[in-house]
Amino acid sequence: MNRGVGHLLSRLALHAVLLTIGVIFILPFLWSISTSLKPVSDLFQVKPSLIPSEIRWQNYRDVFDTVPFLRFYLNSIIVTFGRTVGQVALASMAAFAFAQLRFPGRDILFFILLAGLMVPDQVLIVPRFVLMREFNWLNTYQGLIVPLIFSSFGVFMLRQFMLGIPRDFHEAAILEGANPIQVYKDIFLPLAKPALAAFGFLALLASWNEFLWALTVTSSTDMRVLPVGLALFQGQYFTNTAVMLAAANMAMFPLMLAFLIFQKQLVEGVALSGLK
Amino acid sequence: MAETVSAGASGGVLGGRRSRQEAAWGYLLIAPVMLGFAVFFLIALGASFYLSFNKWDMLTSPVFNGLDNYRDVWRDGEFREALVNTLAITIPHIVLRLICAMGLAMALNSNIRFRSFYRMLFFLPVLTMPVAIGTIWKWLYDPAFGPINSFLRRFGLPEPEWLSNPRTAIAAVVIVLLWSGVGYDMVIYLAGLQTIPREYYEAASLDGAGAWQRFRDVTLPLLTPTIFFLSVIGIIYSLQVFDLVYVMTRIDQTNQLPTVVYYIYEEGFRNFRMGYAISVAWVLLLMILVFTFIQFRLQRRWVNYV
Amino acid sequence: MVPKFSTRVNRRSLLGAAGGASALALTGMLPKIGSAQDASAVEPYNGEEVTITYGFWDMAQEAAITAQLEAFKVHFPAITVEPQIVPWGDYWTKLQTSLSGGESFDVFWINSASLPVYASAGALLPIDAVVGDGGVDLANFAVPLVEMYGWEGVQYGIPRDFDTIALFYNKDIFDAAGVAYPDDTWTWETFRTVSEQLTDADAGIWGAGLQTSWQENYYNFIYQNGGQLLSEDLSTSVVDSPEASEAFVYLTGFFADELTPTIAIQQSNPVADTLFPAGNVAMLPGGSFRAGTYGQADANIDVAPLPQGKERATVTHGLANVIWSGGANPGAALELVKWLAGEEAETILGESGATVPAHAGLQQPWLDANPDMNLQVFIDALEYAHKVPDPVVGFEWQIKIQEVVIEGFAGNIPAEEIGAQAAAAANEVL
Repeated sequence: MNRGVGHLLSRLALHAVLLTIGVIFILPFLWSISTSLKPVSDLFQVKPSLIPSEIRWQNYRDVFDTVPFLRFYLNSIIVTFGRTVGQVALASMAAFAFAQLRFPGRDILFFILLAGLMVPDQVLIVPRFVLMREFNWLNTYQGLIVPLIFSSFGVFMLRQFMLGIPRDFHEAAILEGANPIQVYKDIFLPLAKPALAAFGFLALLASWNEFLWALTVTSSTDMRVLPVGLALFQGQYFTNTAVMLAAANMAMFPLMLAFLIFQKQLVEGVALSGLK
Repeated sequence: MAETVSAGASGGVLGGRRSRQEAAWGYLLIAPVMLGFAVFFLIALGASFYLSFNKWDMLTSPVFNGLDNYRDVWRDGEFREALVNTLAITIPHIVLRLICAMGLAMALNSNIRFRSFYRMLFFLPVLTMPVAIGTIWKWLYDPAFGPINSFLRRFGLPEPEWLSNPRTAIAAVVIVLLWSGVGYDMVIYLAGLQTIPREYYEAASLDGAGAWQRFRDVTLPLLTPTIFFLSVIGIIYSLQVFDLVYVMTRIDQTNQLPTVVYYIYEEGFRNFRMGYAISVAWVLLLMILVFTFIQFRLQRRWVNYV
Repeated sequence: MVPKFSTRVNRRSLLGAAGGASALALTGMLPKIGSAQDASAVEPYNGEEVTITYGFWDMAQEAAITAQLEAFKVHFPAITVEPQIVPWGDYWTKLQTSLSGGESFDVFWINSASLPVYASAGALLPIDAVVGDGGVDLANFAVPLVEMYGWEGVQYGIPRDFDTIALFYNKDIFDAAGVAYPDDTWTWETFRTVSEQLTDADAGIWGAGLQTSWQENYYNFIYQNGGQLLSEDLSTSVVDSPEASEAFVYLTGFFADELTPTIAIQQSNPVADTLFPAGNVAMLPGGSFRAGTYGQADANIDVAPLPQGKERATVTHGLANVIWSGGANPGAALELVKWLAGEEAETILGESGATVPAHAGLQQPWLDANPDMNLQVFIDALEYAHKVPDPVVGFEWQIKIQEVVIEGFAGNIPAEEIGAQAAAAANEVL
């Protein structure tokens, strides 16, 4: 009885703490929803109010009138799909090898791969642009997708998770005559499901928001993706924040959906014994 | 680095042919990533290494000038200032972020009600555009009209100038980085928590372990690979922090809190000294490499792989 | 792990050698754009089917540009022009990368500070062939605007639009205080006195809104006081002159006496974007490009000429269309640039209301777009407008000055020392 009350109180306290911190986390979101519905005259307020003086849905329509938003959307979907699938497939394979197999030069190769995260993109942009020009990949989907499917981040992240899986599993399967590809596919992929889901989601997020590469390899409006399209709304002297945020909110919606689907994957833990 | 997963122990059992086979499979599995990485990254990196020994404005042909760029980096006060700013942001940022994200992930991994809602809530800033983040936080920090200072004013507390004073600006920026990144790390922690077999907790409970002991003896040790990953990645990314800090602290064309990558961008693209900017990037790369190498060296002392 | 050292080293050095070679090859592929083409050597457009690209950044002008290109197509049916818009914040990054990488826009926008940089690097095609007898009469454009796009006696671009600076003011605040609106009799003293009269800390109103932007703030005042920014040969900054220093001291006084929002406040609330249109600031020296926005604000806004110092002065700027020297179709590009400078194209631009066309006599549509404001003052200001000098090093020197001035306005540097320190900082990069 006493224990039950204590439990209830600690739960309530946790909710109170989470909600208090949560307010400041939801604020920008509410602000961007509310601002996206404001008329221009509301944007000049010094103390912006959360309630628009009038609700202006027209801002959302303006987005479609000023840029080919649907085209940007379609491009983003194609590009994100290609990059995410490519990244997850290639990174999980390599991560398995780096975590579970032994071969000469493994650690040095892994470290070289990590170096890929340590150089700011800005200084590589010209050589990479020249490469794309030589491949004739400027303004193409392959130019947008292929160079970005080799994820050092993904290899590192998945490798960490796969290092946590005992090698006994692996050895037992090998002794039974399985080859490493089968071990990877039948044992490690299922075991690493939460990590794969997490990486898949983060890869999707990063692809959807990627800006610099998309800006560099595309120049025709037809090939632009959402982040570049959104940046167009920021003017040199004046930005209609309401319309810009209307576009940003629409661009963000699929990510929220993806997060909701993905986080369901995080409910169930892995039961190691079930796989033995 | 060489964490050498259970290396050696079973190597002898498998025998030479086995290990040769295993090596072949290893190369095969990493080949796609390594080849793609070589073509689309390493070649450009090599080109940039060469260019770092050149005077190059991006518009005319590069002119080889030996070690001049690196000598200049060594003496460059602006670079040093940017480096100090970057480190001053990175250290508190990473430490706080690792701790806060873990706390959040623990709370939201329990079977608490509305847990999906909370997860979404704390993840929202990750989804928000940097411009929107910058705009709203600038308003929050506004010394005259912002809510933070009106709150402080009500209680007669000192009112900092936040973003326009270099000292408070670092704290202000760290808070924003923390706020916008904690949800990201939370997701990775959550994934890490899922891989801890429930049996371990059950066994610990049977032994009469309380919540704190279960955390200390089961959760924390088994989460160390994740913590290690997040600290390595966190430092790599944080040392390259750029967008958000720039959006927050600039006044017109000037930047009150330049970071290293901002400096690289400014020198390369705005001041037409790309050769020099690239050499700064190489110095940064070497520093990050050293940091990362040390972390890999030290991990043997605290990271538990099964 | 005991690595098999020898084999690993071999493999690595092999990989390294291959990588190094391809990296060098890639560097070698960087185009040599130093060798500029000469317009007279360009083959005139011969009527064949070609597609050229046109790079620009302003989304507000996209409709006007589409209309211009449609009209151009009527005259040159075989030339297809693909408009390529780039976000403003990344325009220069994109331009430099694409020029450097050897595949760029055939025709693109440029600003005056960038012209000498790109022209001296040979990235731009001289257009002397189409000016004067070639078809474009430069007399149709204000002298400072034309000068901006010439370098070492060669013309590289033709201005398409322009801006000047004038004094926006909030009529309601003046009415409430019973003070007469600004007019062309105003001097520095009037501006200061009225700013004091209108400043009301309790009501949250500042008399003046002095922005952090150089173009809309101190450059104008330096010229009004008879000062200059750079020496005649552009080799040194002369903002340490008594004239310039006096202007800095005058302006800093507004910050020190809180007649204008402090730098800390402006960091969160850019005066021109929020405080002025929201009605917290009575007067704002601002550019003509703000007129359209202020037409949509609730505040009751009008505009007067800038107050005069020793002389009447404003700075002016305008954008120009230029041609990439490495393009495949310079002949067609020349036709486009020439046509865009003509009356038909400039009329379309003016009628869009998005910007003020540079071609003389075509500003009426822009005036008509905001009839409640006396926008004519911006056009009249061209008569006493100065062009900001543009040395080959780009605008880094202006940022060096700006960094010092911001510190000065924030009160961290004594007002009298702003000029000297700013000049010293600028001279380091000049």
